[in-house]
Amino acid sequence: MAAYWMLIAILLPIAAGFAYLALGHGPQIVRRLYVMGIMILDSVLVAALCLYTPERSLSFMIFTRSLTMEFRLDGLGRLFAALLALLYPLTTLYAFSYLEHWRHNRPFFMFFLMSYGVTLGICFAGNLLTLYCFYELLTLATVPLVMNQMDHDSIRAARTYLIYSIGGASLAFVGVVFLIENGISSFELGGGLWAEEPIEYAVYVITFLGFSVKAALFPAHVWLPRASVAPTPVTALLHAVAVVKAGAFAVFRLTYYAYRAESLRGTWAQAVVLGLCAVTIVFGSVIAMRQIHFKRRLAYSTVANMSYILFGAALMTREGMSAGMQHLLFHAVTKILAFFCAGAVLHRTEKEYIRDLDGMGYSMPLTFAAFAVSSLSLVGIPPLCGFVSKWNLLNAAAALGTPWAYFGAAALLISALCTSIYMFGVCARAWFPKGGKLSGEKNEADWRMTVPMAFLALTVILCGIFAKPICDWTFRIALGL
Amino acid sequence: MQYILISLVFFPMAAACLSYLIGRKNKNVRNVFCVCAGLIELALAFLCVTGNVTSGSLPGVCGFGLHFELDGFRRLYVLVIAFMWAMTLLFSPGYFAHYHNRNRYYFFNLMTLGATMGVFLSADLLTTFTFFEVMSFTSYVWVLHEETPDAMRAANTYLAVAVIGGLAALMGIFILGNEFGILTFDSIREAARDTEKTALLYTAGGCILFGFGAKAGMFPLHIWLPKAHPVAPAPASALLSGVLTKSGIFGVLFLSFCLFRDDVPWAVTIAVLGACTMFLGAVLALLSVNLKRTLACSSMSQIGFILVGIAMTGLLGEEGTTAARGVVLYMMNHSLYKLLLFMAAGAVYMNLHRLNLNDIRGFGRNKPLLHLCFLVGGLGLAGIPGTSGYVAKTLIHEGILEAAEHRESMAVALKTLEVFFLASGGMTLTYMTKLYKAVCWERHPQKQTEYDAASGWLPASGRIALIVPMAALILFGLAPYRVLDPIATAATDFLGCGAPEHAVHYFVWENLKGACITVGTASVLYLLVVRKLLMQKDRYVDRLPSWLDLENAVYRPLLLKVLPGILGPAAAVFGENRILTPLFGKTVEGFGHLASLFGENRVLGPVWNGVQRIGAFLLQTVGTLPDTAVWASARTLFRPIRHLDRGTEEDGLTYRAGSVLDAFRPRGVDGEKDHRMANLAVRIRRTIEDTTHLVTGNLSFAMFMMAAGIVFALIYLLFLR
Repeated sequence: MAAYWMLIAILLPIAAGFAYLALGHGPQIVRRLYVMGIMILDSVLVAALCLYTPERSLSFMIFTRSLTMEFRLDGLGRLFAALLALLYPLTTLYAFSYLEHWRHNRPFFMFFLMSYGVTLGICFAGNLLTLYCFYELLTLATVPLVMNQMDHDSIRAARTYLIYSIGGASLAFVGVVFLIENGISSFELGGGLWAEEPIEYAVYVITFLGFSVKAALFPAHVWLPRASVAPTPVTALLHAVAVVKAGAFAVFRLTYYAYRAESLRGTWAQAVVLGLCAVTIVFGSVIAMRQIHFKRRLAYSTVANMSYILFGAALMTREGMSAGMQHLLFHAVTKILAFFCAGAVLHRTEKEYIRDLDGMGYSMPLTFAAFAVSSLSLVGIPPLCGFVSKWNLLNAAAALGTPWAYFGAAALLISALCTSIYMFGVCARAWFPKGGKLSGEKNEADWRMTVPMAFLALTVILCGIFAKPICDWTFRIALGL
Repeated sequence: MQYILISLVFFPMAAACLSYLIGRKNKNVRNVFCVCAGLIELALAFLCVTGNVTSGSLPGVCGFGLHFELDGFRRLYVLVIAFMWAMTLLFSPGYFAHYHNRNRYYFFNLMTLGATMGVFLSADLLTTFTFFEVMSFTSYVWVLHEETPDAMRAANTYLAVAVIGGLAALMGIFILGNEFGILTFDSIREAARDTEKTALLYTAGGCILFGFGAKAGMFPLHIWLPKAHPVAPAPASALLSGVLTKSGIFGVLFLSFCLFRDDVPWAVTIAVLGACTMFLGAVLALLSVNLKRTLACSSMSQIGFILVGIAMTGLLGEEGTTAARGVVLYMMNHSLYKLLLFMAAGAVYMNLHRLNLNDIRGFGRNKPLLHLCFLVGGLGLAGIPGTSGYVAKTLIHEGILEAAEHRESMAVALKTLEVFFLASGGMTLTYMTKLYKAVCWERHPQKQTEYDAASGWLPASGRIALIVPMAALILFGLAPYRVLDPIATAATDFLGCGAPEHAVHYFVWENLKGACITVGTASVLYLLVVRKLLMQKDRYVDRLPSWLDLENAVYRPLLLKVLPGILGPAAAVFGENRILTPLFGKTVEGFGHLASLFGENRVLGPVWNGVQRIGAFLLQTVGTLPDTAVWASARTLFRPIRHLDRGTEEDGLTYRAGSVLDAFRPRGVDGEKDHRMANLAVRIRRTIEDTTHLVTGNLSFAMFMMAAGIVFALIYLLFLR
């Protein structure tokens, strides 16, 4: 396909988002068909782009020779884009049901559409400048989504989110300037900067920290649990997949495409980032155990799991990169499923605390069956997909063999134990309440919620059983094929 | 042809889903379907065992592929599993006639069948682990099926042991995989022989032993077993006891015969653990007054016997064939005996809904089938000549004697082990006699006529399920040379042993002597301990002190108190800005108190009423002190999970400090006491806290980040470029 299709895929949802404002007062069915139509159209376009990748890159807005906007689609970008193309239409369907009686319906779908385009921009970004621009845009496009409810808590959460994101981006900005000054214009696997000087290591660490604010790395994780006041489709898609994974995606770009990963391997820079990841993994899991709010518990679990991905990236080996990408994919489907379940409960019964979930499995059987699948996968029980990526992460860490890598591997195992406690606790409460079965009547979510959940649960199972092609694919990406 | 092998694993899983769908429409059709599924599985197992398939694999599943293998040992166990499941499924419709959630039971039952097959057929450790985990989780639902408080508690313990054990096993497998690169049993056997890194192997082996030993009910990880087996429905307990514990033994077999072949320290470890399990289980069973709990503790004890056998094989090395044959036969026997006994116990339970020996005594009178079941089961477990249990026990006993000859340095220790072995055997006979006599001979003081009149106490399908295994066991026992010897010869290949150098003659004086000692010990124990010590006024009493419970005394406090006590505060310190915000908040709050104290001039103002006021103040302070201490300890040492709801109890100290002030304010016009100061203090505190929280939490951090970014960029551009 021609390269300009990438630009169309990015601009279509953004333009459609603005156009939605004009359409905003039409009948509901028309608005829904419009949003869903745009989503599916764009997803089809992205799928086509992934299958028939444009050979050439697309450059425009050439400020100077080294400052240009460039779009190019390589393996890593395709992986993330394919994930988004799968999840955005599903979440839209879910959101139709969730936001049925919502007050701020219009701005929600407007910014939701726009966030799709912006995230795609991050996938397609061919150089650091483009990545950085869309990275900042993503913050701006998603802040209105967080404060959608416009009450005290959500405004506060949105402010926190904004401040953290911009603070992180400002750190990343240092790296962007540095790397562009050193002549790293476009991303190429193995074609980045060969780090030798201390300043180059320092800049790597700073940029890593900057980008990983969006991936909720300790100590900049606070915004993520707080943002769980947003409507569930937002917490599910943006705060478990699009935004946080964009942070991890940027870290992948930085480590493997802007730097030469081999040159960082075994240095103090790697030790710092590996250590931080390991700390976050344990920290997030332990705090998640102590949460009594359903969505906040899942949010802290995301904090821990995002660091799994960053940990894979920070191993600076092909195996680590491949395992990190696998966890990026598998955690995305697993966690979005868990959030969908939490949201379905919230939507039907307005129960947000875990202590209220006693016996809910009988009134919402499908929801909690899906949640059980998600929990098992998140803990890493074979043959579900969570096990595959965790196993590969462990292997990659052991293959690296430095003390910090072993430290991280130990963190992974401790975290698995914590995960089992905080996820199975919910399942056990829902299915086997203390004091026997409650006689609650069926109160299952409607089909627009159950269909995405059932689909994702099936994906989690099938991705685990047929993980081989996916693993091979990520490994080929890590090899640069 | 390999698809038959694979279908052994996946056919029951498919049948499980189907049975669930059928069960939503029609219960009876579902029952018939499940029984048929069990029989089809048995037929498939026969087909596999008689066929010439030896391996099968599904490459690519889970990223590493599933690999299956079928050797002699696995052939035997595939048959045993399929047989046991067919029998329990046949028994189930009658047993579950008045149960709720039967659909759930059948679904998870058939799922577990597939997973268990997967464990025993697996040819590499990852496959084993995959199915082992699936099995743990699906069988969890059995344990809590009745959903009584006891069942919930037992199920929680079971789940905790399964999760922690699973993780430990995974860690061990991971170390092995990292070291050897490949995880099939054969390659590990060869790689372990050549490797030098024994410390690493012991670590890995210890981890795996933790996981599989926990499932087998090995001391000191047996805690779940005596709790979970009694509360599960009887067909499920038969399977838990007969098959699922053996999957743990399967792991121990792998460790002992693939990883640590001819490794003396390892064998000694297993022997010590096995002896503890064997003896402790027998003591617990002897003390128990609950029918199924006795059987469960007996399972634990029998697992100990098997572990001792494994250890002896390890000590003997090349010459361990006798002990190895004993291990295989003992495993098979124990599975079948426990099938029979638990189903018989289930038959009692489904009629009386009681398990205490005092309540169920006399139920078996005039019921020849129950008499036979308990008699065959009891004699067989105890190893009385003429039963298949005798053969297996004799072989292991022979193994101990051979080992004592072979390893002269350990002769004394092994002689002691023999004493324990014989004593445990004696206790086995004692507690089985106790059960048999209580259920089938004694009379119930009140309800005996009712019990005697119970006709139709077991439907025909249940009777078949009891008679078939019983007949098989009697046959095995009567023809040891014809039946048991060939089975042992065929099945010892997994244990790496060839044909025996010499045939063991079971019915010669040397071997019968062991049985005589068993009977002698048992009669003494029964007459002295059971009749004198454990019975009072013709009732069985529970002499087991309740504090003597490893789980409640050690594990639960460790997991629930000690670890969170350490990890929780550590996490809380770092979590959610817990360092700076409280520090700032509390300091500013203190100033706030001071300011409000002087600002409103409430301390110095009423001097004329000073004495009364001071008295009131002192009393109030003293009265508040214990409360404050409780509150402070609740916030520091025993910090609860943070509630998000805002309320006055959240503002503990502030509110109380305000109340203290209120105490020496003049009362209102109507003499009513208001809480102005308290409310004011809380308001001030909230404002301050909110502000500082926001400022320290968000703004300063972001400003810092931005400033850092700009400074770094400047430094770079100015100096380092």
